[in-house]
Amino acid sequence: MKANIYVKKRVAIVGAGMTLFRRRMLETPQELAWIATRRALDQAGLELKDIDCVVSGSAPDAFDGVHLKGEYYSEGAGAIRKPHMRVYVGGGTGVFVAIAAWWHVASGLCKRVLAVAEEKMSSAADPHPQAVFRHIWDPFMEKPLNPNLIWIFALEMHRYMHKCGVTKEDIALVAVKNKRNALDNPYAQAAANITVDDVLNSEPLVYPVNRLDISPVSDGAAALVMVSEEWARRLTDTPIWVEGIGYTLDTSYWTNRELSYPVYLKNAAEMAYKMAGIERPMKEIDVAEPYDPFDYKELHHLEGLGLAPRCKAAEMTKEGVTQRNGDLPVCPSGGLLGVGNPIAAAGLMKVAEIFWQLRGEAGKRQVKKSATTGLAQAWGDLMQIGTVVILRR
Amino acid sequence: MTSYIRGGTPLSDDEFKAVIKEIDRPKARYNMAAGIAYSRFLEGLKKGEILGTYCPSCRLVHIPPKIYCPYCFRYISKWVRASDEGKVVTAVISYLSATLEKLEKPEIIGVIRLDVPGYRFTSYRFPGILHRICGASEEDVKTQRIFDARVKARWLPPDKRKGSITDIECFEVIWG
Amino acid sequence: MSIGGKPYIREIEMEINAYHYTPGPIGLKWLEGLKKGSILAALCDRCGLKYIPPKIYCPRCFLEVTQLVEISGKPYLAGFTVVYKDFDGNQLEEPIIVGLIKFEGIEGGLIHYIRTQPERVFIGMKLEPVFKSERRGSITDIEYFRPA
Repeated sequence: MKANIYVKKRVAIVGAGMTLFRRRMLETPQELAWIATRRALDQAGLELKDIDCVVSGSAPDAFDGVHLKGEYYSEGAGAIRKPHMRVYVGGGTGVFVAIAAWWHVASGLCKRVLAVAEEKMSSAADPHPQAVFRHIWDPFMEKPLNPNLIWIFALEMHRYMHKCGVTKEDIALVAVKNKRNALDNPYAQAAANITVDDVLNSEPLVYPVNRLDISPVSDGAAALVMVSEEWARRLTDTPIWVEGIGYTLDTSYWTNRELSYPVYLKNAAEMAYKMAGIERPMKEIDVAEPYDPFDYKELHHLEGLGLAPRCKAAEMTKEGVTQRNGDLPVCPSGGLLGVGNPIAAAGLMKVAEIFWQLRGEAGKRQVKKSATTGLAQAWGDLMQIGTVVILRR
Repeated sequence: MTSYIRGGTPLSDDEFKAVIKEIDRPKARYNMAAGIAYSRFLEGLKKGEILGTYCPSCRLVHIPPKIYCPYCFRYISKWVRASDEGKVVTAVISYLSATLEKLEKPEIIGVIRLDVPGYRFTSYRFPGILHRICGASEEDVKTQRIFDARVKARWLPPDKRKGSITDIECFEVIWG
Repeated sequence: MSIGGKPYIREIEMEINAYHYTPGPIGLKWLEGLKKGSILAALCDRCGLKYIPPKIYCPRCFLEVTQLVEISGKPYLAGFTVVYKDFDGNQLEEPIIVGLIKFEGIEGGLIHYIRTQPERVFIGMKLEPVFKSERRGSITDIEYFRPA
């Protein structure tokens, strides 16, 4: 795919903020959005009146239980009396909000943009927030079989295991790594010191998926402030430049595709690498936050992003390459497995984590090597969308 | 500590129940139209046939069928009949029902790649559907023996078919 | 283009049985105020704005708000509508009046029922709340507003 991109203005992130990610929060959707937005503005040193546009992202209204929830939380996201746009691409939303905010600044339309992602899944309490996914299925080909959402992930995981010769033990290493990384993350919901055996012995849900292979349901919000070049240099000494963006959608007919390799992610990543001028991703990316709602997804995505050779991501994990002190630290924040999965906010949390890592502000989570280029990626829908953002100091 | 300083106010399960004052039950119900392609496909299932549509310029058979080809975007008018045999692309064992309750008897679910006599497909794009798999044990799935196994549809008797994907009870493994 | 076969329709219900809504930290205290029989407003101690419904940030200066204060201003009717049919289109026995109630000196307002004859209602009318005897901490602890 050839990206025909004429970029008028360079874009930088100058502030980021997030709430705690927890299973149930007292705050209303607006209040969650406000906490993240206020923190991002405070880090950037801006007031709400300095912001000219707002982009927000949130998964369906069916989670919060309020119709037009983009408009509902828009006040907390600072979007009242400003141009506002809401985006949604399933789990890919979090990074897609950052991409949409990039459009606003790069085109010259806006100078200082807020990107906000919020999710309050606990409202869908009866029977369970996961029930919202009951309508993701094709009503004629799939619903009559009474499917459970975990089926698709299990089917993809098993195909990946079969095609690449990867075992459950190899995959469980990712859950162990991420949950351990999350112990240093003050926002994390599911941080824990577990072993591969704990993962393999946890409740089997749909073989080969066990309970500890999955990230938890959460409430939370995250926000970024993105500004144009002249503002970036005025506001901070270390703006983090958004060098590349990419996104690609594949068909929802997932039963007609080869599941062991995400071709759509390869396209999205190529789009982003081309923009950023990256030719050898494995050498040039210093730290990565691929989307990991399930542990095997981290491996799957590393290969799709070109950060691991095909079918070799599990070996890389076993060798410790993806640890925080390794050559290519992956998910130093703890990822979704460790921090939590409020669908839209999770992706934006990854962009925020790369932002903090590149600035050296990640505290105990800071990766050992000196990081100048980082990548955040999200994925969603029915194994369809890949969204990628590349940041550089 | 205020909400801003702490970053939110987490609640336990009991604390959550204590603060809920308003509960609302949505009431919408939906009628989904099958559309042109699916209506014909479901009629075919009632007769015991699995139908698909064929795009001559991409040389792809679409099952589930569509009246347009999503790759070249042309209108498709040619219908073909797939055999009710195929092979297992991937399979899993489900211990949970759709509402997350434990199933009495675990189900084996898989993606089945269907044969269409006279046509060949790449490994990347092929006609395939989700369905139950029978005649296989949990061991077959866990040892990955079930991958690439040949399967054949087990149909409900003609008078029990309603024009639904469940007119096929499951795909039975042909070991051999 | 001919339609091949009967159009098949499949009936589907909503995914979620019920939603449980949390009121937020300051909303929770406001509802407790209603249970005790008083309507409170949030107060921003930076810009002095008093507003209802309350939330943890000031809509004007976007900073954190934690205080609730008694409302001294009197409620008045800022807008109203008279409803003659129910949700399904059947004629109501008695028309219902729904009004936007604002308080002097307070930003924002409440929506609630106004109990009086439709001919008597006018914008600017002074009102008073009538609370239920049994209260549970909800906007419905106020049964209706009536002319003061």
